[in-house]
Amino acid sequence: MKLFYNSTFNEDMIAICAYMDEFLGNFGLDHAQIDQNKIAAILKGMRHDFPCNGGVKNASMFKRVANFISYFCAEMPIVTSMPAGYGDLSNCKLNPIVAVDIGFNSLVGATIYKDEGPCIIKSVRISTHSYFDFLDLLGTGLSPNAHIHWVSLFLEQLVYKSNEGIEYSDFVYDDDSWSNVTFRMN
Amino acid sequence: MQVKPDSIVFDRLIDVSANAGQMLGDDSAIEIRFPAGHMLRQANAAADSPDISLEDIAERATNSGARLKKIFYK
Repeated sequence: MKLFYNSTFNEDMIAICAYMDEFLGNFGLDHAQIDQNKIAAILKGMRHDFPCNGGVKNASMFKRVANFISYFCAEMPIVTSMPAGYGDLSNCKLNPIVAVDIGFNSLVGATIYKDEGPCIIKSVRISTHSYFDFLDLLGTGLSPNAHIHWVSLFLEQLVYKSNEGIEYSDFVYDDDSWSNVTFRMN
Repeated sequence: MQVKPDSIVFDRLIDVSANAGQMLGDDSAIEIRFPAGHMLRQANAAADSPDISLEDIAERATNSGARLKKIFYK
């Protein structure tokens, strides 16, 4: 079983609901309102009209996760508001927090296929500053078709930053590109 | 994973998953009280587990939720 894009919608529903159950409880909430219709809409919507050549089957893990995050943040299935007591995180919306957590946990352990052979994503690192910026962005209201590629690109760069040697090595811009540039301190 | 008999369970969610493709009515928001691990016991019977088990998913969620709480909850 995976968190989503299992062979059946049924499995997706069970996995995501189970994840939210455990995550929210251990996050410190003693109750939460969840809109089941929206969960179903997310998991169905992301199976259709996948904005990638070849559809879901040919999509990278980044695009799959980005599609989930985009749909989740567009539908906002968690009715309960983010509670007080979590510092600056209390100013963020609960739906993006959950979407990002599910997304990151889907990426870690996933495989990237390169010419040199498959690589496993072992870690995703993000600073508190960038985490809040990402949550703010996702909380502004996304349109899955319009934003999936932006979210995917961000996830991809985050994974490359977090996992040395996993990025493609045919750089367009690299250190050599800037070796003749003179820097001036003002 | 804790299981408490007085937890409100995910029975309705299991109903949804068991009837894939069928949408619920307008009043779809339900209140869930935590821990609601009972849902997982039910789900285990319904789900195939070709890659990782539902327990693995739950364990990741448990650890992730607890870790974020530890970082941010004051």
